[in-house]
Amino acid sequence: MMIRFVTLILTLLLFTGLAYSVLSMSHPAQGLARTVHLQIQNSGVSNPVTAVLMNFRAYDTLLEMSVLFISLVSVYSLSHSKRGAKSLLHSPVLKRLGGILVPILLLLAAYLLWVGAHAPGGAFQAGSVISATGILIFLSGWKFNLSVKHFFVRLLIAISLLVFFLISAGTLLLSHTLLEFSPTQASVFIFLLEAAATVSIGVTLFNLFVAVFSHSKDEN
Amino acid sequence: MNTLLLYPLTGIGLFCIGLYALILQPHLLRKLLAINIMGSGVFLLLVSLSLPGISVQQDPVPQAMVITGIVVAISATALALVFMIKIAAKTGKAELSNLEKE
Repeated sequence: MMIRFVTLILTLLLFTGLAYSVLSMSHPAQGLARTVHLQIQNSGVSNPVTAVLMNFRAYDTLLEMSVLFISLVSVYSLSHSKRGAKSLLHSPVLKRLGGILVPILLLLAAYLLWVGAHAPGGAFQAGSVISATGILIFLSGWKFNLSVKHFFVRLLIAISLLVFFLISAGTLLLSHTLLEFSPTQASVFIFLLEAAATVSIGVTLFNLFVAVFSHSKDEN
Repeated sequence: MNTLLLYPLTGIGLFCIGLYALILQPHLLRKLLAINIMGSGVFLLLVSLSLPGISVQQDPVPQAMVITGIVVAISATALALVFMIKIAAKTGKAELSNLEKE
C-alpha cells in the first residue's frame, strides 16, 4: 500500500510540474513553422510534413529505417521457429472479404504514397496500409510464402536502407553534403526514397507481426 | 483557460497514468501497455503543441517527428513482446516479483 501511495504522490507531482511547464510556455510559440515555410519551395514537395521527413530531416528518416531494420533482425535472431507461421483463423467470411479488400487496400496505399507530395499522406501511412493488407491476408489463412528466408523478401525489407545509402553516397560525392538535394532534383529523390520506404515499412511491419504471432504460438 | 491547452494537458495526463502503471503493475504485458500509453501521451503533447492556436502557424516538424515515433514505437513493442514471450517460456510466468506481496 505504501509503494502505491508514494508512487501516486510522485506521479501527481510530476503531472503538476509538466503541466506548469506547458502552461508557462510563451504563447503563441515560434516553433520552426516559419523556417519550413520559407524553404518549402526548395524542397521538391508542397506538403510541409513530407518536406520535413524526406528532405529537411532526411537523416532522421534514415536512422528510423535503420531502427525498423534492426528490430526485425533482432526479432528473427531470437526466434528459432523451424516451421512456418500458420494462421488459426479459418473463416469463410474473412476469406471472401479479404479477396474484395486486398486490391482496394493496395490501391489505397499507392494513393497515399502519391498524395503525400502535396497533402497529408506519405510513406509511413502507405507502408502501414500495406502491412495491414498483409496481416489481413495472413489471418484469413491464404497460403502465401512471405517468409524472411526468401532472398526477395530480404531485399524488400532492406530496399529502403539501400536506396537511402545510395542517395546519401551520391549526394556526398557530388555536393559534399549528406542528403542535401538540389531544388530541381529533390522531387525525384524524394519519390524514390518514399517508394522504397513504403515497401520496406510495409514488409517489415508485417514480418514483425508474423514473427510475434508465430512465436507466441510456438511457446504455448 | 484556452480550450486548446486541453490537448497538451491530456497528453501529460496519459504520460503520468502510463508511468504510474509502469511502476506498479508486475505483469510484463501491462508494463508494455503502460509504455505504449506513455508514448501516446508524448505524441499527443507534441502534436498539440504544433497546433495553430498554440504555435504561430501549423508547425510540421513535430508532426514529422511523431510519425517517425509511431513507427519506432511499433517496432520496439514487437521486440519487447518477443522478449516477454521468451521470459514466459523460460520462467513459466510473465511477471516480475511483486514487492508489495512479499
